Amino acid sequence: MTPSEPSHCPKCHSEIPGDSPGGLCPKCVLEGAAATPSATSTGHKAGSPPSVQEIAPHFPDLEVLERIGTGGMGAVYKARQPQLDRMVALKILSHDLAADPSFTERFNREAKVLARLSHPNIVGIHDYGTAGPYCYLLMELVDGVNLRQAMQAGRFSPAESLAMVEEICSALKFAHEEGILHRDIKPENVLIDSKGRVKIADFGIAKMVGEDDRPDVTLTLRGSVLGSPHYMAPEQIETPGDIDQRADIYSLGVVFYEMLTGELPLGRFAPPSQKAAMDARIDDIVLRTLEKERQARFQSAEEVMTQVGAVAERPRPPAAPAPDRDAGGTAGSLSSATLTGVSLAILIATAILTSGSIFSYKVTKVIGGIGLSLSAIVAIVGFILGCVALTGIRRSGGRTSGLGLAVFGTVGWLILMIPMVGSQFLMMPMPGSGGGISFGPWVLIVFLILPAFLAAFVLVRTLRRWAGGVPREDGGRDFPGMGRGLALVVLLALAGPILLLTIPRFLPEPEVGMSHAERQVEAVKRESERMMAAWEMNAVVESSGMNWHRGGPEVILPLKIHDSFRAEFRLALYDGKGNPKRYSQVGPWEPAQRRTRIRVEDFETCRLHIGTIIDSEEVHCGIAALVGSTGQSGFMVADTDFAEWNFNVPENQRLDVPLATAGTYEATIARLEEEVDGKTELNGVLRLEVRLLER
Amino acid sequence: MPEIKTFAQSGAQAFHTTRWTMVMRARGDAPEARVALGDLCEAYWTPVYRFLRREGRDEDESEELAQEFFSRLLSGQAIDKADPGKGRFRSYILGALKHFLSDRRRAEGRQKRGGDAIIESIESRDGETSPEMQLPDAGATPTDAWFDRHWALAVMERGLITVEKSFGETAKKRQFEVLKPWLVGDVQGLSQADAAAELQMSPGAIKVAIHRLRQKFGDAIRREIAETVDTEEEIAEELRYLIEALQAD
Repeated sequence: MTPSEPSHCPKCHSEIPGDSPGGLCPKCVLEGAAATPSATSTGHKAGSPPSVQEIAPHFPDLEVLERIGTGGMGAVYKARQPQLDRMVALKILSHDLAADPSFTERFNREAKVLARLSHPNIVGIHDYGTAGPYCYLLMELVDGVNLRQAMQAGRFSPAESLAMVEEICSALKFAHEEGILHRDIKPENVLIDSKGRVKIADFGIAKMVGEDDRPDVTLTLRGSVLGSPHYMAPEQIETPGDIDQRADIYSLGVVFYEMLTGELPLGRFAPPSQKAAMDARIDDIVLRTLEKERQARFQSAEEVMTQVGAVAERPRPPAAPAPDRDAGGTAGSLSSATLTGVSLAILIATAILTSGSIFSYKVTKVIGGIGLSLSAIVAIVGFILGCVALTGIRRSGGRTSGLGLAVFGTVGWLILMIPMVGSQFLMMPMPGSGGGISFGPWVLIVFLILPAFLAAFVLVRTLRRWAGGVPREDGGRDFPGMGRGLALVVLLALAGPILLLTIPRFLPEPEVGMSHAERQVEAVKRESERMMAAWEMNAVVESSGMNWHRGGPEVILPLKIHDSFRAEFRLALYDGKGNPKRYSQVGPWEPAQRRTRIRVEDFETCRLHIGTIIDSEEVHCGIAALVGSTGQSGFMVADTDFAEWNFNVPENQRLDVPLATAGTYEATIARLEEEVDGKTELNGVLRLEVRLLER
Repeated sequence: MPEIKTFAQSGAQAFHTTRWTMVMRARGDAPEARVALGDLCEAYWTPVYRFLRREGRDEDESEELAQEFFSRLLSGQAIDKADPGKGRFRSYILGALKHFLSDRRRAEGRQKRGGDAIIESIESRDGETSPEMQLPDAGATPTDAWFDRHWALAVMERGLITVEKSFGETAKKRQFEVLKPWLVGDVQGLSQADAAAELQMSPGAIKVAIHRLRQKFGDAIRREIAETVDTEEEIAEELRYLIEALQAD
């Protein structure tokens, strides 16, 4: 074990002699041993706690093994319950029963409440009562050390501290909800078991042994025994009769500070990040738990837990110890930072999606919809979070960074949603108005985006002043300039639509001389043409290089046709130059007909045709026909040209025929291929035309 | 001696009376005192052996001489000559060893280097601390401080061995190896997180384990020293002295 090379002690940096046992610096090791208090030596200051021999006769059901600790509240013994074969901790309260006859009653009352506290982070109470001259509590035995000892074993990293505090908060939250205050949170009462779990001991014991009876705990002998006043909230010392859960939160803050820095927050103490490198957000949390005024503190353990959880979940690189910062408001910067980050990310995503949708209807439908609902949710969540953040900032007197972002998250983002949502709706086809209104991008910019930005700007500015708590010259109202701001916003928001409605040239030209029904027909026609364009493109792309005879490509064509129309489908065969070569009538289609799926085997009975074209001039292999059916009877392929085709139906090939009255229609198409010098080339496309016959 | 009760935890009631006390009371006569002295001598064989080596002897000779010294010690000759009632076991051993060496030199009739040194008799020595004994040729004859330093190392080694044994074999032993460096205290350069990862323990559990290791080691050292001194105050004092002895190197 002796190191071959001379190494240096990591602690005192002196060279470790080669003959040192274990390769450790002997001086530091022995000094360490000297610094360790003997495990069994207990504080003798608290008088003389009863010895094991003294108490054992009073507990016939227990095997009292040894005393494991003494404190102001009493002594703790390790004991075994032979019946249950488990180890327990027996706490004997140091209280002179004779001196205080009302104690037993209070003890029983309090213990009953405490025994109900069942939480993984709270040392459970199995039993309580009086035995001989002793009041005792039988508790869960925590096999571990207390936080004081753990801190001596090594400074806690910020992440470890956060995790510890989260667990402590969980216990406090639970107890506070049960109406129980701890009253004596300090490192000695925070136990860590051998698996690293946190267990809080001595819940409410301070009250049990009668803290309320002693108005000035720091001056009485008992008070000094009870625990260090350093962990007590100011009000706990000043008005011990009037304390609430916020006193525990203060004590927790002291423990938190000590864990992070190794020091107590005394006097004008520095924020933890000045003592060690850590996330600056931790400062905010610690300082807020240590507010002298309890109104300014976190109001519940849950709040602390949420904040701590947020920091722990998204750790930031530690800021270098910073110059003294004003320990002002805190919640704002935290929540606004979170919400703004999320908002911005989704804002960008939505912007991309929305702009994309202007150019592609398909994208609009598929992705745009998702983006819209998503961003709407984010806007609303952002609004709520922003309100919370702003309240926090305002309460802190505006001494918080991230104010602008919080305000943006609250209102700016919501307003920016308007043009996004608006443009989405305007790009959609509206059957009643003769097709979709086609806006130029500049229309969108002038009438929607620009006003929205202006409105956002005005609102953000107004709200910022309000939340920042900037003193106003004219005093009085809480919302300076709010009225004017709101009026401007409403005006701008109305401007767009008003302009659109009053200036006709911004609206699409109405087709002169057409009846309403005709316009509807036109709309459907346009719609179908548009869809066909997309479909055709897809067909070309997707069918290239595939072999028809092996099953053929299948393209799903979404058709959306108002169901009060009759339509006629026509198959057209185009050559490579785009000229129509052949048509095949496959309609008319009755809206009442439902979508049918026809399999190739059924073709004979349906008298539908599918096959390969062998043209007289050139060979076009791989053409398919399709088409619809009314179900059992089916309908005929109108074009007799199909009869000339040489049918070659691959086995079990499925042909989906679209016949729904509304919704997505499916059609199977085929490619037109040509064999040139033994090589198959894509030479044309098959197009499905939809023609409207009558209303 | 109510303070010593704390060591009763180890289960050995014998520690109420330290082994050294027992040896001294019996003045080497009682059989159990002989056994106790034997245990002690076994424990502190190393510093004696090193002392002999330091004087310029080779391994075999040193070993032989150490063997002879202890067997004489155990046979009671040295005890009778010295008054162990006043000295610490450490001081007693050193004194006895010097006696033994000078006797031997005289018997062999040849004065080795340093043989003309004025050797203080053990009776005249202050029992509390080792007196500074100036030998003319310090290079050849180790100083008291040198001996005390090696004594301290022996105490430390025995403490370490005790703790290591308590970890047993296999997985627990690994824990000892990994956590051992923290015995020097909380050190910046050592990462508890790494240790936690290696031992697959949570950071909290590591802290618990380190605390326990130190506690165990501290107790082991104290128990080790408690075999040679009586009260808790003396234990603390001896420990402080040993730390100083290490610094004197």
